[in-house]
Formats: sequence, structure tokens, C-alpha cells
Amino acid sequence: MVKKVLKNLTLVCSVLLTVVLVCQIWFSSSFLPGGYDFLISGFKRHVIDPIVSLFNPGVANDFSQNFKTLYRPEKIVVNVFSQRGVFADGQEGFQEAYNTSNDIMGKLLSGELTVKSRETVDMDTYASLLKGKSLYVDYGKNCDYSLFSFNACGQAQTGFSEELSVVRDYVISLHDTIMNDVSIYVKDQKSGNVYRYIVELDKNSLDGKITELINLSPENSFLSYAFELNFHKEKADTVSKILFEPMVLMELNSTKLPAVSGRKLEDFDDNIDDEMMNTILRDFSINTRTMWRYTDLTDARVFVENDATLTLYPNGLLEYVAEDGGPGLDISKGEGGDDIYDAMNHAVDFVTTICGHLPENYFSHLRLQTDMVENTDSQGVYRICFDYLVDGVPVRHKTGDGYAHTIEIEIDNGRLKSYRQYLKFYEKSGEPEISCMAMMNAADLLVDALYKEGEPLWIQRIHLCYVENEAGTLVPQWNATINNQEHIIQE
Amino acid sequence: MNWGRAKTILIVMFLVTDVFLLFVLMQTKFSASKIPEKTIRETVQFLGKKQIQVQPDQISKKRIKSENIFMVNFFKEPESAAKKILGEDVITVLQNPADYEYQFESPRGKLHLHDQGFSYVSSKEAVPYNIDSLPGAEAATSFITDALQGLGFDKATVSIVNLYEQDGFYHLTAVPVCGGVNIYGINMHIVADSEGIVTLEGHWFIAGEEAKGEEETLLDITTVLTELALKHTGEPMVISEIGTAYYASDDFLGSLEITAVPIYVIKDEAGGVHLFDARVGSAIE
Amino acid sequence: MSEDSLGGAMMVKKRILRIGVLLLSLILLMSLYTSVFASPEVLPETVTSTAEGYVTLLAPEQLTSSTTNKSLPIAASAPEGTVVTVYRYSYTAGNYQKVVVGEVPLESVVGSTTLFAGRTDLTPGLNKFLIRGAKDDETYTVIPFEVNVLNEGFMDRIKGVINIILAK
Repeated sequence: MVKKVLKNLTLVCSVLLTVVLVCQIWFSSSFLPGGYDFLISGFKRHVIDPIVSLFNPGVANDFSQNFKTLYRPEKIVVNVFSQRGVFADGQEGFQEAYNTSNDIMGKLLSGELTVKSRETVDMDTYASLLKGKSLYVDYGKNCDYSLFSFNACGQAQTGFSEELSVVRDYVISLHDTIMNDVSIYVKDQKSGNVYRYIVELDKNSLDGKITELINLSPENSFLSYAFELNFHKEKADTVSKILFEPMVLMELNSTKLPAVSGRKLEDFDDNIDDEMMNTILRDFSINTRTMWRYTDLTDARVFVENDATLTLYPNGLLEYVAEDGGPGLDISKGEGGDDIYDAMNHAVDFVTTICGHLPENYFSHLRLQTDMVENTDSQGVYRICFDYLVDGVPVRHKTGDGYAHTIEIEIDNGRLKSYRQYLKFYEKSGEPEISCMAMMNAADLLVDALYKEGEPLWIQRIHLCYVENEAGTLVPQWNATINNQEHIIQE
Repeated sequence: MNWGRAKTILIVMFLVTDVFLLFVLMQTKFSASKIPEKTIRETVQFLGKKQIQVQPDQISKKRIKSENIFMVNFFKEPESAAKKILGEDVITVLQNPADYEYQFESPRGKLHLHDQGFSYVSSKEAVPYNIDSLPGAEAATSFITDALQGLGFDKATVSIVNLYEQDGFYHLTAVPVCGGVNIYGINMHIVADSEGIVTLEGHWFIAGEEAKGEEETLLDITTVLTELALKHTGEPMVISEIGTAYYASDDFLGSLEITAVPIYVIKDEAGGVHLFDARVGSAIE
Repeated sequence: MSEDSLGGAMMVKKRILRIGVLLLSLILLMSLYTSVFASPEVLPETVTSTAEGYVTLLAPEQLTSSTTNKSLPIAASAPEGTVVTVYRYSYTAGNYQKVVVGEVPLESVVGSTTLFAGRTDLTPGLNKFLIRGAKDDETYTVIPFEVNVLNEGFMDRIKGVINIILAK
């Protein structure tokens, strides 16, 4: 009996020993490159991921989901004659208004809506729609039609690709002054043409939705469009010092914004900071075994490889700069491509990867903030910026020579030349609201600073933003775009 | 079925397999930790063709493991460092953190810190050695390292690599030491008289709290020797010594913290010293 | 009463009168001083400009217009430093009264942009307004304008008629 038990035990032990020795040999780093990592990552890439994508196609199409999150209108204005409801990105009601308008636009572009007629109209007609019953969707930045269409209906090319090249805003109008039709007006920023598409749509449902939205909107009785005030036209008898784009919404009273404060990564947990750095280094393909590392006199942590430098500054700025003349980091995954669609694809994917390591749903606060159009001066070279929003108000960062966006990327034909991101979180601090100067006062300061005799300043956009100074304090300031250049107005 | 016999056969089979696998495992680990003899022979031959002479036994067969060393600037906290060097009665003459410039004074001497390094000057009058009473190199080194200890530099972490006498003064170059290994790239120049240290200038770093990083196997020395051969153009060279050390790039010496990386140090009989990054094999100029 | 006490009372009266006149002058002076920075609260129906060019009406574009809207955007251009004020005609008082929106008068000093903008509510029927651009109390331009607020039912009837015509 004892002999039998011993025999069984010996057999079991010898089998186990065989298994252990085999594992030791297989997974020893001297046998396999990278040891365990090689097998595990390969298994995940070639077996697990394809199976997961079968059951969840949304996960495979990452760019689509992420781009939709990042590319959103700056504001949606619901107009019911003189009543105006403004839904800024992040405010209550915005998502509902966006879903309504984007759904209609998506159906138009995909061909799901029957277009009864299409024609061009002039800018005055386009502007006059805002005096009636309409939804005005303003993205605040130019967008190549392929991206705009992809965002709305999932297709980069549609039947409207011939006439629409660059889109920034559009209007869904419920009534014109005579006929009761639903019309969708889209201005092509490249040609300047405004196209009107009269469509078949359930007008009553849309009417109800507009009424619902206007009732939901915050009290906004002091908002007028620039064209209603005739601030978009030169005056006949006097020289104008300043003019506004017709669709600029004029805030005529001083406003208040909530006080906001910022938190750096290490405010969460020291360990998070260290682990995250290692992960981020890998994302930037910086070999932690062969890099040089030092902390400079400003307490910035610097990581240097042959072709690039990655720096984490004490103020939370993460900066990657490829060496002058160096190739830069390939973020195209070998897919190349030099048009805006490809560049945006690569940029969004990369930003998603970096932000995926950050806590507290950092990614959901971001919004694309630059014009997304082809670079005719230098094909394949793009500068793409993202802003961090607090209740729809963007945060900017004062630097030595200007104001930076939260994320700024420079791409050259699928290769990352530079990447800057403020790894900070912003939220309402609970302190008393901050009074901001009236928009017209801000315009006065702009004129004082920039006006040249005989050349009126042409304000393309003007909106409030939080500006973070070097001490980390956030102050609301007006930000005006003139000749495609931003000017932050200081009191 | 005779399970008893079957079990016996299985046990014998598995045991034989285990012995075989054990042998394979040992062999793998053994060969992974050593550079093959053939590789060494071929490297020596290749070097020979490039007019570089090296003996096979000068090349270590064992693959070396090493790690990065995290080092902290001795002057990271300027006031605290000034107290160590100048004493408790130090006064701050200049303090400009934005440009990293500080000046301190005490009856002992003056200390100046800036982004290019530091300099210390003793306030006592210099008393050079009499030519007749010059101590030997060893005695001088010992005396001076004791004096450095008095200024707050731990002599156990100081290594004197160069010493000469001029006009009654000793001129020395000191480099930091970690685990008995010199760290190239960081150094301070010392001028000493018969009473102690007259001046100090240069850079100085000490090992940080978590000084050593993760240990990794370095590049084979044969690869580095091949790189040396490919770069070598000129007169015949005879290699006198091959060793390892650490190196901190002088590009980063104006920093608060740096990483010293493992290197190979190859010395030749003509006095030349060739440094190579042991992680990637590139030459260090 | 004795002559002495009469004389004394006269002296006191004179003194009081002098002080009173002094005080009144001071008050008048103060009110003059303050009136440079604030336009009158009320203007007569017949007010006219004393100078030209101190305000130009930009919106509404016509001096007489109709709308169905409940509020009216008002815009003007004026030289920098001009005090621009909007008044509404009061039928009961028979004069123009300064428009107040949410406890704040519709008035401001024009800055470098040379632009003025505001918005006021409309009441059904004829709304008469006057915009005044003043350099000082004596130098000002006034522009009266009116907006007739039509009810929405009226507009629907117009639309209905047009639909019928187009359908035929």
C-alpha cells in the first residue's frame, strides 16, 4: 500500500517537474526575446483582439468613436424669432441639441433624407434665418468636408463632396418667411457659397424639439448676432474701426464665470506619476534601457534618446521634441498618408493612447480646436491642437511667448515632430464666481492695441476662455480671432 | 492492464526526460552568461587586421550585468551645501534661483554656484610646500581627501584620478565613486597647499537615495571591440586594459539629478582611454 | 422788542441767508458737476439735436419698422467718449424716459470701437424710442425711431393668404 502511494507520488512529482522545467526553458529570457512579454503581447494581438472585435465592432473602429468625442461644435444656438437659447459645449442641453442637429445632418449627407431642391443663397439670407425658427450649429473652426462628413454619417465621401470642401457651421431652419419647409443651409468656407437643401422631414417633431430646447436653455435675453446690430458692415459715412463676422454672438452684458483651479498628476498619487512616466516613455518609443535621464535646474525631468527629447516640466507640461533634422516618431503605424484625414487619424489615435493613461476621464474634457483643412503651403505638415474644457469654456496656458492649447501636435507625413500636453485637470473650485468685463469693453481694448488707421479690425470669433498663468492661477479672459490669429485680451 | 508496470515505465520515462531538460536548462543558462570562445577568437583576429593588438585573456568571457546609477547634484540644496563647505556661520551674498546663481561667504572661504558648476576659494593665505618637503603622491592624496572630508565631501565616494605638483601646490582631479567604480564625466579640480585645500572647482554629484536602477545584461565586449576597430584609423594600438565604469554625460552636468550609465573603458599602452556606452555600444567622445 | 434785539435778529437772519445761499450754490454746483457724467432721466417729447454727428443709428436700420419679436437689438456708432442713452416714449407721461433693463440703464460711454449696443423688450403696438449721443449737457444728437409690434396671428393670416395664392 505504502509502495503504491510512493509510486503515485513519484509519478506526479516527475510530471510536475517536467512541466516546470519546460516552462523555465520556454520562458527564460535567454531563450525568447523579451521573455514572457513576447508571447503574451503576441497572443493578445493575434488572438484576443480579433475575437473581441468580432463581438464589439465599435472597439475596432477606434478613430470613429474618438473623433466624434473630440470634434464637437463650440455652441448650438436655438433661435425662435427674438428668443435665443445658447448651448455651449458642456452645458446642460448641449448634448440633446447636438444629437438632434447631427442626426439630421448625418441623414442629409448619407442620402437618407430626400432632397427636394438644392440652390445657393446669399450671406444675408443665411444670416436672416437666425431671426426665425432655427438651429444654428457653430463648430468654431474650419473642417475638411471628408472629416465633417465622416463625423456626421460615417462616410468620408458623399454626394455633397463636389460642392462642399470646408465646413464650419450650418443652419437647420424650420420656416422661411413664406413656405413651411425644413431647409438645411451649409456654408462652404472655401468657395464662400451658401447651399440650401430643402428636405422632407417630420417638421412637427423638429418644431417640438426646438420648443423643448428653448425652454431648457438658460436665460439669455441679451444676446444678439452681429448682423442684427449691423456690426458686420462698413458704415457709409464714417470709417469703421472694428467689424464682426455676421454670425458672431454678441454678449452685451458683463458675465460671470465659475472660479476654476488646476491639479497636477502628482496631486493624485506620487506613484501614479512614476508608473505613468514609464508608460508614456514607451508610447513615445523611448527605450528606458538606453535613454539618458536627468533633472535640470528648473526641476524638469528630461529623457533623451538619440533622436528626441521628452521633458516633464514642474508645471505639468509634457513636451516631446524630435531632433532638428531627425525623422520624428512614426505614429502612422506604417500606413503613411499625407492628407488631413490621415493626419487627423494618426493624431487622434496618439492622443487617445496618451490620455488613456490619465485618471478621471481626462479625454472626455478635450475638444479639437484647430482648423482641420489641407495644408496647401506644405503638404503633409499639420499642427493640430486640442483644448481642455470646463463647462464648455476652454483653458489656455500662458507661456513665455504667447498662449498654448492644452495639447499641440506637429505632424509631418505621419511622423510626430513635436507634442506638448499639459498633464493637468481643471475643475470648479467652489469659490465665488468671477466677473468678466463686457465683450464691448474687450473690443475697445483690441482696438486700442491693434487698430491701424483705415484698416478695420475684422473679428472672426470672440469668446471667453480661462487663462492659466505661470503661477497656476486661472483667470477668465476674452479671446478674439482676427485674420485667423488669436488675441487674448488682458484688462 | 498492469497499471503497476505502466506506472513504473512512465516514472522512468519522465525522470529521464527531467534529467535531459535539466541538462538543457543548465546548458542554456551557462551559455547565456558566457561569450563563446569562438566569438572571442574571431574578435581578436578582426582587431588584428585593424592593427589593434589584444590578448584573448584580456577579454572577459563572462557577460556582465550592470545598472544605471541615479546621482544627485551635491549642490541641489544650495544653502545646505554651503553650510557643509563653509560652516554654520555662512552668509548668503547672492541668491538668484531663476538663473541658478548663488554666492556664499564665511570666515572659511567663498563659494560660488552657477549653472556651469561651482567654485570654492579658501580665505586663508596659501602656504605652498617647500620643494624639499613635498610629500609623496600617496600621502598627499590621503591628506587632501581628509581635507575634502572636512569640507563635507565623503572621502569614501571620492577617487583621485590625476595628481601633479606645480610650484609647491598639488593639482588633483577627483571623480565620484559608487560601489568601488569610478564615474567618468563628473569631476572637480582641486588645488591644495601644505595646509589644506586652496581652491575647488567643477561639478560634483553623489549617489541618490535609490541609487541603482534595474540590473541589465550589458552589450558583449566583443561587439564594443568591433566598434572600436571600425572607428580606428591610424597607428597600431595595443590594448592594455579593458574594464567597466560609469559615465555621466557632460551635456547634463548643469542639472539637479542625472543618470550615470555603465560603460566599457578600454585603455591602450599609448595612454589613450576609449569609452563606450555599454548599453548600445556607441563611442563616447 | 428793543432796537438792539431787533438788530441782533436781523444779523442772524442775514447770516442764515448767506449760509443758505452758499449751500444752495454748492448743491447747484454739485448737480452741475454730476450731470456731466449722467444723461437726463427724462427728455421732453419735443427734444431736438443741438449738434450733428454724435450718434448714428445702426440697428434698427429704418426709423420706422415692424416686427413680431418680443425684444429689439439696438446698435449705434458714436465718437469715442460720447454718452449714448436709449429712451422710450411714455404715453402716460408724455415724455421720453430712460430705458432700464434689469435695474441697469441702457446707457454707456462709447469706447475705442465707436460702437454702442443694447437690447430692450418690446410691448405690443407702437413702441417709440429715442437714442441720444451726448458730448456734454449742451452738445448732443437725438434720433427718434419707432417699432410697431405686430401680433403673430396677423402674420399667420398673411402667410395663409400667400399660401393660397401660390397654391392656385
